[in-house]
Amino acid sequence: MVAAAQSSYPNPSPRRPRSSRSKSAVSAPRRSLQVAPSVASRPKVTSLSKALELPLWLRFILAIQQSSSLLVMILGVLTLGSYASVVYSQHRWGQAYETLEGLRQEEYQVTAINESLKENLVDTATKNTGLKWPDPSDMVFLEPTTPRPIVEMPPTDTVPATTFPLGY
Amino acid sequence: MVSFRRQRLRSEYARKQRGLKSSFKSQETPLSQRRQSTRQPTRRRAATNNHSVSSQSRPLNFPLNLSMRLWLVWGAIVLGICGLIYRLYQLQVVQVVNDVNLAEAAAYQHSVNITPVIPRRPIVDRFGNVLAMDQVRYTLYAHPDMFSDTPENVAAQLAGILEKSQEAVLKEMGTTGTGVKVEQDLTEDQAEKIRNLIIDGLDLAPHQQRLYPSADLFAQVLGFVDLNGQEQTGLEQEFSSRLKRSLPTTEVDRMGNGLFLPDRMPEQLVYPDNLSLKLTLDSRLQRAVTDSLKAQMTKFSAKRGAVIVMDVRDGSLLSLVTLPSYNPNRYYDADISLFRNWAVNDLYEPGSTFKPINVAIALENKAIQPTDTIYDEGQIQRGGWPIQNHDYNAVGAGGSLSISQVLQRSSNVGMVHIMEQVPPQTYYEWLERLEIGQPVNTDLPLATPGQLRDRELFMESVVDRATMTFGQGVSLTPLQMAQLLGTLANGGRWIRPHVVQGLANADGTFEWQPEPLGAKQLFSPETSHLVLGMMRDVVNIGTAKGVSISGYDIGGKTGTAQKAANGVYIDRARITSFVGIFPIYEPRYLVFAVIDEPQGEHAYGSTVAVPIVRQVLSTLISLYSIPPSEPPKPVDASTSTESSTPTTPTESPTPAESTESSTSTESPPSTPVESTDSPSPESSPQSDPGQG
Repeated sequence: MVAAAQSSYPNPSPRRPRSSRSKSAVSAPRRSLQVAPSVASRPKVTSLSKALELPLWLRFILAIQQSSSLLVMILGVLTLGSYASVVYSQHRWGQAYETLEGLRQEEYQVTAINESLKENLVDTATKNTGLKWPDPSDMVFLEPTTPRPIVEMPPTDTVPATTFPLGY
Repeated sequence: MVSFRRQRLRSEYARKQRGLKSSFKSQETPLSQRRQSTRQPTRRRAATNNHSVSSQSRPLNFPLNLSMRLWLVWGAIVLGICGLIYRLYQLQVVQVVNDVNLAEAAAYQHSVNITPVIPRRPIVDRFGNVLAMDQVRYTLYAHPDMFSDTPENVAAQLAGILEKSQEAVLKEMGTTGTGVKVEQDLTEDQAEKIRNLIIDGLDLAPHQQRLYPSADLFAQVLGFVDLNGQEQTGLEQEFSSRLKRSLPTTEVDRMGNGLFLPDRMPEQLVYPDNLSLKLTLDSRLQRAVTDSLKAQMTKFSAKRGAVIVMDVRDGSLLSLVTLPSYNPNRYYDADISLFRNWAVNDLYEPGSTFKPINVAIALENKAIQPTDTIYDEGQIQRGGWPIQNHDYNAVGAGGSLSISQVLQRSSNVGMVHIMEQVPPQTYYEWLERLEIGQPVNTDLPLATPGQLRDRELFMESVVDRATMTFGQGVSLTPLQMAQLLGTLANGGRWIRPHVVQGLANADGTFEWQPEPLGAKQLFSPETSHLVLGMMRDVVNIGTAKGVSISGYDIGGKTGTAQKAANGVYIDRARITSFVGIFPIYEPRYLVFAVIDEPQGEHAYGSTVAVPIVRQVLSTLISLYSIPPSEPPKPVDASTSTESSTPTTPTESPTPAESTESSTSTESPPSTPVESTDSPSPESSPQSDPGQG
């Protein structure tokens, strides 16, 4: 099992804990059959989790790939967002236009009703109500008089005359 | 490598089988045996491990020797991606799929051709009352072929809304066919109800129909728009280019839910302007004038009448009433002869109302002085024809009269003598300067030009010149007469009688206004002032006492002219008129009333037309709150009876009660002072004026 796992590890360097190279204790029962080597000939233990040394050009390409992926994601989100806003604003405009048309129709209707009400009033007023057209003899014209001269008032005291006791 | 594995597996299976068989032989297998059997796989794995280790020790290469399956899967995915890329190319770059142009298909789906119907602009009066506006009306079409219900049921459902019986509706609709017009002029309410029925096969087509809320009040001025949307007569026709709004058929986009997209909507449809054609007319005044004119016409059984109320400072008409009138909402019920506005289109001979103009001409020419006197014989001969005053039979010769008295008494002979001071050449030139032979400069349509005698005829014929002095022998429209008198009232400056103020916004600002007339003098201000003073005396002392209103300075001139047809003056067919100008020394308003063919013995300008003008003036004063120029006289019995019954003409034409009998300004005229000016030629071949 372990060997299979090891074979799928994407490790470009041909460094593998092989029985041909190092004698690690990870190997299964087979390893246990081997004789433990002496202390003097113990090989160096290299940790598996050491950072990979990538060549510069590869790191550059990777950086570009990552940043462009990020940019693409952001742009994608922005595109979707702007598309959604365009569609929504068009929808809103369409609804507002329908409302506007309805209001215009109503305005016409109301104006027509208003005018016919006025006509109705005139009709009822002219029939047997005893109303007549106004006459100058019914009118009173007043000459505007000159306004009274402004009288200077003394400034009122801001402090009230009586002080209210605190106790009440 | 694969076959090698298979071999190994097979051998391992065989070994396993052998092991199992041996175990069946004896139930108890020793542990070492079992372990051995289980040890095989590890050895197997170790062996393969060893094998792969040996391959791994080689430098890293492209895994060309991966299993075929992996290669197939990878190939399939790459093929899929290629297919997608090709499809992308097809959709985005080429945009043609299966011979269908995608752009066209999309456009077909959401484009729609609309022919927008923008309502006609409304016409409003001076104070914003709507006189003409558009209303939506629906026509109901039925397609009985597409009914899902029986035609009888559909008819039954419609009968209630259409207010007809089911049989009638069924008869209209029929039971087969498509596009059957069932009913027209349905209101919005009825259309809504029909829509709510949700019946298949019914169709409501909207159209705009013109509505005139004020009915017959402004009929001849506005004209009308017929049921087909075609304007006929009046302002509707004259200003149709400014009233009509239309857009060509445009393509707009529509969403799936029926809402419009804004990108191609024409701007006029989204932001239509709120302009309306604003008139100078006043509805209230028009109503008051119509009432008084109608009352007086009924009283004297007159054929027709017209009243023009004008603001002389700029010529705007406050009221233009012509009776009889019709209801433009039901124009099809009206007689076609009512469609013309006779105050603008028909000619008449003005008679004595023309005399102030002649006096102004004489004064302007310095042919006479205001203090001059002339001798009035009462009857004279000119060119073989007798000319006499209207009251010659009653009072005989007038004696020595001042110019003002000539107007007060409306003496024809006096006028002849006055105008004979003016050389005929000059006189004719002045008449031409009055632009009688041209149509009035107005915005009302079809203004008829007046008729003036030819120069040669005028110069030759003494009698023509004589009859011209008292307003017979020339014919013009009532509007033109009002224009000339208004020019006189305006300090001699030309005015343009107009009805339209312009295209106004809702807040009152104007988008378009007609060009104002430049200042062009016809008479000098001094002359007009003098003539207006004389007209004041006509009201105070002369024939038009009935118009005076206490506290207000009113001037005027009565006129009674005989009508002619086929060159012959008809007996008893008169056309009476009166012009009132107020306040006389700073004129603002002019009221001109013309009544055609009042019946009765005592139907003269002073009895028929003067009361109308008085009533109109009192309403005008009250509506516009015009303060009196002098303090009103204290009320006494005579004034109170007079003001309450302003239309009472006294019918006793006793010669003894001459015009001078009542000097108080309030009593109604005691004599009908203006009888027919009977010019001699009862049968003379005078050119007949346009018989209106």
